[in-house]
Amino acid sequence: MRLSALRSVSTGHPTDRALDRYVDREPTERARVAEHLVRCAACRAAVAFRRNLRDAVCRLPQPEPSPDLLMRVLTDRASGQRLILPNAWPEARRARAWPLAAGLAAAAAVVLATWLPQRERPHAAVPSDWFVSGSLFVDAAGAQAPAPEPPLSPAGPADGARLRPRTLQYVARWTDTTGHERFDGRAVVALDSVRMDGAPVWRVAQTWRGETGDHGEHVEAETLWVARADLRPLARGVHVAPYNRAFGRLEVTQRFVGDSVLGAMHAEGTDGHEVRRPIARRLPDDGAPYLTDAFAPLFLSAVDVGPRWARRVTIAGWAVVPNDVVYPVALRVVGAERVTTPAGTFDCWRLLVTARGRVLDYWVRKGDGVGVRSRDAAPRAGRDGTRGVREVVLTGE
Amino acid sequence: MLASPPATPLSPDLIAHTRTGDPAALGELYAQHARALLALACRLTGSAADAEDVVHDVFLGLPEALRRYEERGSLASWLKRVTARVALNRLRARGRSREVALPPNAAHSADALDAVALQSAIDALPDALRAVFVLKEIEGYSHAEVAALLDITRGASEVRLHRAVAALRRALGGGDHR
Repeated sequence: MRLSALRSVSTGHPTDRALDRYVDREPTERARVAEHLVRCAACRAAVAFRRNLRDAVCRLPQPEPSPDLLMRVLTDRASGQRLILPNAWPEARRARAWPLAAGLAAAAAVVLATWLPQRERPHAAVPSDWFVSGSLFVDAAGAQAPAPEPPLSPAGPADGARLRPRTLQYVARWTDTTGHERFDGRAVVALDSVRMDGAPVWRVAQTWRGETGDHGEHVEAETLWVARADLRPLARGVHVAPYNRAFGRLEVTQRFVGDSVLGAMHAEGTDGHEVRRPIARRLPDDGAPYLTDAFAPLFLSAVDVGPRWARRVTIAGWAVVPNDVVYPVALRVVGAERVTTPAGTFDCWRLLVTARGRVLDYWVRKGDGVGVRSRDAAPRAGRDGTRGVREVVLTGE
Repeated sequence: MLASPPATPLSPDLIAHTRTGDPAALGELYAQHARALLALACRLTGSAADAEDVVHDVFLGLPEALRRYEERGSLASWLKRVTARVALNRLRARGRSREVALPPNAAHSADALDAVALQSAIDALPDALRAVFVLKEIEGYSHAEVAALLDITRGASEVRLHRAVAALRRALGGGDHR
């Protein structure tokens, strides 16, 4: 028997909950409580207080919003700010209690403040992806890139019907200025046709594998779903393990909705703690077409490329932090060359790719637009402090 | 002065336009709902400044959030639940000590509660008790719904409501029951 029930027995009064239910007009014990109220002034006063209290609080004056509150909202939205709101109801009951949840939120804020702004990609491992993280086009995170100069027209229109399912293999090497060469990772890029929410889409799965500084394996994988016809990005998942010394695993999930990219980041610390961060950013209308890193070696398969062709695309970042949302990329055809890689010899268009102040040479096959080789146009600082050139080549398909 | 929530159902076009981020549509929804949402946020947080931030955040994220709104219930109810959750998240993260002076323990009869004293007494409740009191007694949620919103059990919701009412009764000079 509960303590309140025992007290009820000992005092002869209904329990507090029974009185509350009576005020709420719930049928449980209603007759017994009503009978008690007839002869108990204290309980009648308690019930009367509850009812008067309810009436009184409903009559309390309501505050007025500040005159500039709506303008603040509209100004912030116009500047690209977005926010993920919680669902109307919690999705599932969590096991943790309120104070612990508050502690975790505080801990997350502290951790994120120390590592996300640095965007410490796992540079001791592989250069990972194609465009954004030091492979085909641009180097890793940092400040938002200025728009390419002079302004170029957007690449496209992209025709998704030109794509076909395929699997491509690449290897990356780093050559320093002394001529010393080292392995810098290998990638598999697979394109296949699937259905998403009942609609046919293209799915691109890219996995870079390399070595960490202590000879462990580093994996960075991205799966991207794009609209079948015009190749608009629809959703993306990124998995990085390890992310850095502090975080053994990081995952990013995104959905591209209208002019926004929404999603979440989840990182698992090597000491067991977890960090979660919502993603809600606006993608500028004039940035289209948007690509992600996984799609970079395939995108030119879907557009017409020819002599003196020059266009722009935008790489969508992880969008967890405001300076990692969009990366404008300029593409210019500068010639035609025959290129030999371990996968074969191909007639190619040679392009100059400019992004975030870095320039690369990039070769795509004339026949199908597939990227077969990329190389830094000039030596740059590597992750290990040396200066050199990174090169990615097609090794098989 | 902002308009009261409309008695008639909202135009589907207004929701559709808001989903696209149309500022005019967002402003229209704001005009219809901001005042009620601010009142809810103010009661939950016990702070006008926090409440304005809550309403700001709700409308900042509303176009994207509306894409999850299935239009099965009233928009006003859906907005209130979302606002309550944003306010509760803010409360959890805030963790501040409350510095609200208790009203003088003057003789307020239960049927003539002074509005200022009552508001002060509600503001002086601990966050956990005030949240239950506001959601149950003012917003009309059931204990099961309050429990879901606060991530507590139904029994805990009932206990907290009773403690909140008892604290208010003491603060307002009604004495203790029994």
